[in-house]
Amino acid sequence: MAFSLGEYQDVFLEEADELLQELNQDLLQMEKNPDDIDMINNIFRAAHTFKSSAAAVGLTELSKLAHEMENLLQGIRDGSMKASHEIVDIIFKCFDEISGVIDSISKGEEPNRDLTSLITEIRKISGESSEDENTEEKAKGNASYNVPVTKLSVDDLKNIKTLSDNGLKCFELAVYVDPNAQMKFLKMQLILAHMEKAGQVIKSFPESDQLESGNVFKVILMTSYEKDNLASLCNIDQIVKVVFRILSFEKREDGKFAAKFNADGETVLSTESTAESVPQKASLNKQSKAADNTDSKKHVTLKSIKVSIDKLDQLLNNVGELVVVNSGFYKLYEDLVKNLADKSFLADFKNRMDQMSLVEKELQSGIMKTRMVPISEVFDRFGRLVRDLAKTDNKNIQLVITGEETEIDKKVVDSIGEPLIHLLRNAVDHGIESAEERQAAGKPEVGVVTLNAYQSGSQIFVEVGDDGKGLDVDQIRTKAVEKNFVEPEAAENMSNEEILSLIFLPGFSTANKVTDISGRGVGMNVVKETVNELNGNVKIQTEKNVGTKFILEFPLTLAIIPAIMVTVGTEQYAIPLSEVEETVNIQYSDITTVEGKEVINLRGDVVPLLRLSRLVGTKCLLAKEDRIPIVIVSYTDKTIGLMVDALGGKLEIVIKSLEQNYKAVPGLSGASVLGDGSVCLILDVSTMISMAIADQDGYYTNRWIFDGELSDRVKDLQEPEAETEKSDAEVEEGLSEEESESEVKSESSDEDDPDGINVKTVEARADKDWRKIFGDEAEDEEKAEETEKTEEEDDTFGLPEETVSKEANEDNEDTEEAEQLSYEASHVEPLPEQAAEPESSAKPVSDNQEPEPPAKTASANESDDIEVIIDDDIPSTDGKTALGAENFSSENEIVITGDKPSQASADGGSKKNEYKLQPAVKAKAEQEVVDQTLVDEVKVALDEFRKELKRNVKDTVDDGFSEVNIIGKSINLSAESIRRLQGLANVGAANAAQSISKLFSRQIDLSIPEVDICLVSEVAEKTGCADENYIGVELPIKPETIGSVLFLLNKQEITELVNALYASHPEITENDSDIEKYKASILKEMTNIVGSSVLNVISEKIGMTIQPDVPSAVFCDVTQILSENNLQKNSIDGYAIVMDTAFYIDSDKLIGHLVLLPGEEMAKILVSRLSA
Amino acid sequence: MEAVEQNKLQDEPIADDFDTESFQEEEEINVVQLVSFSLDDVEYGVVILDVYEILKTYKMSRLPNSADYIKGVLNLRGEVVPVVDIRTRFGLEQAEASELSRIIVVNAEGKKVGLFVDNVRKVVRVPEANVSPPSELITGISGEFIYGIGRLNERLIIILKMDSIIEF
Repeated sequence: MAFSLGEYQDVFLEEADELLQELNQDLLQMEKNPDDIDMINNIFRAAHTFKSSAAAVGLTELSKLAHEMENLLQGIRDGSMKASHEIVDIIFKCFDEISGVIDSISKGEEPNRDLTSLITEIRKISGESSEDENTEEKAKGNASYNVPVTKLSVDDLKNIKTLSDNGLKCFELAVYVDPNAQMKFLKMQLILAHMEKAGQVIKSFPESDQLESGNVFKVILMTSYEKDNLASLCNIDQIVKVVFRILSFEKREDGKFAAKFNADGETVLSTESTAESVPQKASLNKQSKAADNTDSKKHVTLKSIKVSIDKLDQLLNNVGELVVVNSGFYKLYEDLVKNLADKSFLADFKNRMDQMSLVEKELQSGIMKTRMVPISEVFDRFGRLVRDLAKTDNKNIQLVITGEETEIDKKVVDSIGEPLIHLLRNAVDHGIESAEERQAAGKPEVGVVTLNAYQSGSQIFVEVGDDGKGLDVDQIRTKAVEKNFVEPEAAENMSNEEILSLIFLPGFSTANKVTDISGRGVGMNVVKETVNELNGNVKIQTEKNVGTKFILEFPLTLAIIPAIMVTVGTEQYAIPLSEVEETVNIQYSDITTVEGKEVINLRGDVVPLLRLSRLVGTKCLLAKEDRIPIVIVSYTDKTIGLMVDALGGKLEIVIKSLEQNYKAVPGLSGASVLGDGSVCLILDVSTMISMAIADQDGYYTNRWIFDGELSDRVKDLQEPEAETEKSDAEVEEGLSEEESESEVKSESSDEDDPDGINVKTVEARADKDWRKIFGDEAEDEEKAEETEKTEEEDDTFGLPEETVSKEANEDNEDTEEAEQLSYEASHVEPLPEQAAEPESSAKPVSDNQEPEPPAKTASANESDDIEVIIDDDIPSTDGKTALGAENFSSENEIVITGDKPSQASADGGSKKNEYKLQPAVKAKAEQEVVDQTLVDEVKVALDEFRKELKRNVKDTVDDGFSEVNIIGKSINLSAESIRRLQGLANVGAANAAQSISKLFSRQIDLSIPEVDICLVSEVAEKTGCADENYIGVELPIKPETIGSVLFLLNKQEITELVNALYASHPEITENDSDIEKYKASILKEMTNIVGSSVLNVISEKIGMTIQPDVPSAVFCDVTQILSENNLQKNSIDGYAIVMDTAFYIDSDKLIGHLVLLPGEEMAKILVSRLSA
Repeated sequence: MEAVEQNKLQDEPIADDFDTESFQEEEEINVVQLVSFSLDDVEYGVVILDVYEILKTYKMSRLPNSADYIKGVLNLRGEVVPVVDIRTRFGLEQAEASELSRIIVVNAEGKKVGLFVDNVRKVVRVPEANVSPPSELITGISGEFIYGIGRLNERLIIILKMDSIIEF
């Protein structure tokens, strides 16, 4: 059962939390200002309160600790001890202990901390410097009134004399506090404070800093006030009575004055007073006067109450409902106006409605205000933090907090703590230099960290600044390149602003060593994310050697926001007004296409357009001649135009969470209920757009807006109207084409693959959902690239002719292959069109490209690659082409689809997106920033794959496999055909990898790096499978005459494979026979998947129905299988196609051989189709 | 007999006042009460304890960028509730929304979720003893949605499980 302190637990925890906060705060002040008596008193008071409340809930240990703390403070208070760092540190330690205990209590755990060591430590410190602590303890708890003795020094008297000569009266007030009252000292201090206002306090007994003891205290006051006034000032709860005496001076014979107190009455303030007789000093005259009983009207001391945020939220919800319901009335009213004959009554109705709206508005803003809390709630914590950090870093740092009274939504206050901590840490750890550095730079030794908050418009700004060394843009740039966050050339082109924004990336850190405080590269990412969650923004201002300032910007409130309603298709969406810059209406002809993207010219700025209809996946209902409303939205520092169908009005909407009953939906920040009761979705413009842009090409928005030179060129582009129109038309076409095509593809793949082998295709589509929104742009872009590519290819005529023709072949073939690959299809499809129409939209774009590297360089690069291969002197053209193509694609950043499957299989099919984006050389900068980690992985995988390929090629060379070609020639299958076959097989392999990955819920990649043809009789020997270390599985094909497939694997490797896969299936017992069984079933399953995936692709390609059967038993001897295999007689001359398969499971690699034994018919078709 | 009854049911909207159809032994202690609806002549039931309410009129807004089976979101007295199109979810053929279409608002893992169904037939009481775990008898919908099969007067009712009806 959870530990609990009973019914007062909550009260205690809340109080303790507050007290600790206060204590921390005050102690910091005290440390700076050890003589500040007020501070010491404050701390003392807080510690004391804490002591009693801890005792009240039964936390005796804690209470004891607080008591020791109190003692220590007492020493400081009475001056017997100095507030040394040692003492401050130990008090801080106490606070930490206490908050530790409180934490565990609030978590429902029993606090079992051992506080004794700390207590002893305190005792040691306090024992050293002060001995008498217990005297006071004795005085406490004594219920009787110990009236302190009035003792005035000569100086005091002289002072009084002078003042009384000036017409002031001297009162002595003896204030009696109810002995049962809590915090008597507080009452006394209050009275003292009042008295100080009323006149000049000469002295108080006991002294103001020792008010703790006793129930009575006396004040000697010089004032012009009358007794009655003073009495009313003393009218405080639980003050029993006040005895007044007037000090008068009598001239004695010796010419000196004698001071004399004359009793001036007694004011009884409390009805339940138990006033005791007050022992008076004999030397004083008693002169009772009737006590002036002032009306004991109660002072309202309760200025604020605590309300749980839940209750407020509930209330806010209700108000939200009210807003909604009320807006319903307006709708109703409009209906009434239309339908009602008697209009006289309407005016009245309207009047009432307006009144209600007014009340509602006030109610709403009132509730909103209750949610606002001063930001000091978070700021106050940081004094301690910065102090501690500075101490660990050995830096001298001053934290300057301003604007802490700024009010901000409770939710923001609750969440900005963490990001601010990170920013402050960075400021202290990285920003502020060491004292020596500062001196050298001519700065004051004490570093200043500032924390500032202010409101401006409907935004709240929170700034964290330091006067340190500033962010080093070059260092960030270097680090970013070093850590592969950006490509070097991209980094060169990035503006300082862009470079700075890199620090928000996860894992980015310029710190060379990870310290306790920072350097892991997590902090800034947290900052960014938290701020984004709150619909806010971060800006960085930095100057070398002057300092850095992070400016966080939040909307004032989060619950009810003004929004602009927009319509697309038949749907209505709300765009938060805070994100909207303006709205404009444009003509269709105002839209220009730049690099395949739609832009408009907004007063000289080029603003990219996005079609909201595509963002939300609906149809735009605007006719071409209609004016198009555009909502200009900005997020961070980018501006974008959202193309909508119609603009609605501005509306105050209540944000409802989608997560409450569903989950967060990307691109939507929530929903709202409109006046008619329907749900309207609120667009999260920033994430929606950044998502889309990140997907598409982030470079675009950055570059074209901020690069003046380029913008000029954009303007030039706007001239050829006709071409623009044309490209627009194409855009539409392209989209519909793609859509319908995808549709067809998905259906066909469903039909073809009831086994879900083509899952990949379907998933690829799903991945594309959001990209599809940009389908046309993306496609345009691709078109542009394709054209470029075509042009480049034109340039490559200087190359050995063989290569060129090969590339051309490849393209043609790709186009054919595309029929099987819906995903790739969209990339390649436009090619023929392009070739036929090279003057299309892509043309002006490529004309306006950044100067491309001269064609010669490009071709030189390529020939370099070729040379490398030639150096290797590979007789197998097959391997050569594969390698050449591979290099070609990577060096020139143009992806050749034929290679894609193999790449994809090496990298995991899911990462294809990156490949698609790679072509846009310029686009890389942003893109790679966004998907850096992914790209890294891809790169590594690619490198490995390339090495693997090279190795394979080399092996081939070494083994003298050249006769493969002889065989190939003998059955009229050229090296190209084999390579094409390999391409197909790799497509199948990629599909298989996807299925297997899914099956075993592991990332498994599969590729076919090598395809050979040899005699069946040679298979065992060639593959090295002759010995008994190999086993094979047969995948029969129906009908039998067509052929058969064998899957050969090394036994050892199978065990490894099974073990690797086994790891993800812990339910299988570690029983040998089970493993054997499992092994067999895995093998069959794998054979089934790999074999049928590859066969499927091949069958589609050669247009022949090949129906794989269920894999038969696992054979142990490969030679046996091969000899037993009745296929041998079916296959022409017993040829076999051997495909090496390489599995990549996590870091393991497994090489197997997929042997296709085609029957006569199949072999013929295969040969003819592949050669075609 | 069965068919006749069904026709009768479909003629009149019955969502507001349910007949309570029950097993002969009315006093059976362990009885599962189900709100039943039928799709393509297969009867399904949602345990009544999971049902908040049944809506007759609805105004839904499509939810972009969500699963295809999310028909939209609706406003349930200020709460935004996602609606699952049961037909899509079960991979059945689409059907036109009709007069009889209803939204059953259920509790799925503590969240309110609407199920868009062709009709709501009635509240059915099935003795727990007559509920068996899902078997291969059922074809069409995936076992992850099925809690069990209830037998009632020679009829089979597929009792749905709300856990995976929607993916959060």
